[in-house]
Amino acid sequence: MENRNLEKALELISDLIQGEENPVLYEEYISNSEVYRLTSMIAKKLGLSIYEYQNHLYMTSGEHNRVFGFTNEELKKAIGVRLNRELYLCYYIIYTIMMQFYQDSATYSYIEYVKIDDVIRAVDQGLAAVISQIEVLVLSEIEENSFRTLALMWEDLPMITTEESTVRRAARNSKIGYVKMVVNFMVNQRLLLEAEERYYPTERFRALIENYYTEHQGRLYELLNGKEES
Amino acid sequence: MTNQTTMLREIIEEHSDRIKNMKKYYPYFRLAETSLAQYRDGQFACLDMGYITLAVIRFFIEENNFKEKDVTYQEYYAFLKELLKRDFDLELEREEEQDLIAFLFDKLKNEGKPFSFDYYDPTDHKRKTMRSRFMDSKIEDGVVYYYITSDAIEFYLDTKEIKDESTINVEQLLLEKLISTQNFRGGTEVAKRINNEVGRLMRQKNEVLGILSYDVFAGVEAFEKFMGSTMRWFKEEQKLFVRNSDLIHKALERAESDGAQGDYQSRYYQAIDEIYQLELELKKAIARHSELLGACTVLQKKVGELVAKSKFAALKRSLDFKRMGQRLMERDRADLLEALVMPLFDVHPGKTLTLGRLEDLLMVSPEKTENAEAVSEGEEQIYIYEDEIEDARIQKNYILLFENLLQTLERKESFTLKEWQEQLLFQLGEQVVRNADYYSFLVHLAQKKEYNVRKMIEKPDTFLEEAVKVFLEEHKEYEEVDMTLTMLPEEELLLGEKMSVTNLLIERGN
Repeated sequence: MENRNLEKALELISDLIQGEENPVLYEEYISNSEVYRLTSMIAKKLGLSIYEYQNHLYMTSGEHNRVFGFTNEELKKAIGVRLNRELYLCYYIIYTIMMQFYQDSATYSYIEYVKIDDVIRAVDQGLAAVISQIEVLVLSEIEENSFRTLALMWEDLPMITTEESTVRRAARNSKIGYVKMVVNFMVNQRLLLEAEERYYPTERFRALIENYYTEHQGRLYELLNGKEES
Repeated sequence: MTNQTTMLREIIEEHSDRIKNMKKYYPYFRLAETSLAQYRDGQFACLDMGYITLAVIRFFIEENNFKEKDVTYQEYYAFLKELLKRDFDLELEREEEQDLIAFLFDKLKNEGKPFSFDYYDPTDHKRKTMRSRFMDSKIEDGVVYYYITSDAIEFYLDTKEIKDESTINVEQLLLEKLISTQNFRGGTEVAKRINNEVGRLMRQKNEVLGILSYDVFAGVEAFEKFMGSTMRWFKEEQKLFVRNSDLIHKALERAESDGAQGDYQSRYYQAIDEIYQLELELKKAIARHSELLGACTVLQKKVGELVAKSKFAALKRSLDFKRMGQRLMERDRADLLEALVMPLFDVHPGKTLTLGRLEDLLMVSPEKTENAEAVSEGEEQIYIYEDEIEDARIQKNYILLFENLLQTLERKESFTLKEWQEQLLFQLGEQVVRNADYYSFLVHLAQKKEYNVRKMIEKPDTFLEEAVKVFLEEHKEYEEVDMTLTMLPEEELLLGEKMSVTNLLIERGN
């Protein structure tokens, strides 16, 4: 193993962790099989995944990486919520936005962008079935991580607060505010680009959706279908 | 009041306009009501005049407007003969057929007269008659030609409640008719409708795109339907746009030349503003129509790409996000959404690792399989702290002493502390006076001059009262006891060798 190649691999990983990109190292990754192999190995050991998409490299720490991933508390702080159920609602909004562009990890849509109103409509539709069951619920029986809690929270939010009539602010007191908060976070995460209140998916977003989920689909199916609990 | 005025104005002044708008429907309903039960002993009662009317109008639109020719009776005859055979399974003798088709034709053109109906005009306080016809005729070189009226075209347009097909063509035909009859204002309205129709198709295109994005099969179906009802008319529509533009230009030229010649009474000249307005609307419609054409071409290309991609995706492994979301909802586990969204987030190192540190990580070879840290199952322990032990001891001693005090009080109406202490010494031995709890008991006891057991239970005031409360609650026999304490300062009482207390007189209360 050449030390130079190891250095390059480490430098590349370091850059990607810091969200930076070095074209020279990218070239090395593409053309130098040793650098490619070392980078892949180091990333794997660190629980990171690297994907090449449209001549760029993108990195993710997956879903449960204690070193390189967000903790619940860090996420709450980054998004701007306080409670777990608020965080789950944000997850649902992110999931809804994902679904606007991708129904599955292999089929991209031709929807060019989403607007906040589209997202609100989609969340409304997504939670409609849950909301219809709410009337007969005993509120104290609902768990914090239940979709019914999410639906109740969502249902109770006004579409807009009076003070928002001119400017759409990110806040927890209205549907528009909530979605705005989530899209702001996604913009910070380099998943969306904003132009005149239209949100376009970034290459990074596409790269991760089209690669990560396909690669890890077996494990994710098990996790989400409850196999992890058996 | 204002509302009332508005309402009345609408009722009275706008009544005629509303009736005029309805007149295009009138011939249809008159025709549809026509029964053939009386004709030839009801032999053709199965024929539906409503259907025949609509079919004939459509045929005329095709001939008059698309093929740009008027219709002779023979052509109408051939069309209707085919229709009767195809749609009503009628196989007729030649003579019978001729009679029937002529009879139907007479009905359709109302024997050459317009359909008329009376209505009351509340503005003029008069009854008026509205007239409308679907077909008209003209004679050229000895041949009678039939053509359709603008009322019929407008009526036919309005019947397209389910907008499954582009109506731009039909609207344009109407426009053409209106221009040729110099109804430029009506033409502007039609041009606006064409504009709206183009807008609707644009929206429909976006809807198709939306469907395509989540279900390719349904999307392709919607796309084919959309293209079938839209794209195939484009050529025709553009031709008609050109023709209508020409007509407007001709009308404008005519208006200008009439104006130049000083013919200010000319209808063209008087309507010049309306013609300009119409030209403006039509230009707008043409521009939007071209835009739609462009968008449809792009859509066509995208569909091709999407289908190819979908074919490829069918072979490729993929994670179905929709299904996963549904599954989580079934399990009612919103928290697991984390696994679906977390991989999208940026790498977020809590700590910063230097390159050297990363290298160190490599040098440590991790075990092939990692064992989880073993956590042994133990029983839950209940911890009792020192002060809790002391509290329990003090309480126990206080109860013992207080109980003894109450018992003594039961026997004697009054006694001194000295007497009680002697009794304690006798009962419990000498060590009792050396016990710190006895001393503290006396200190606490001396804090109050009167004691009422009931009040002690209800609202304990002192530490002593609190300590003995449990005992008193369980021994209801002392509930009525009252006790008063009086200091006897002249007498000192020794506790052991070093400590002393003031003597007390303890008396039973009232």
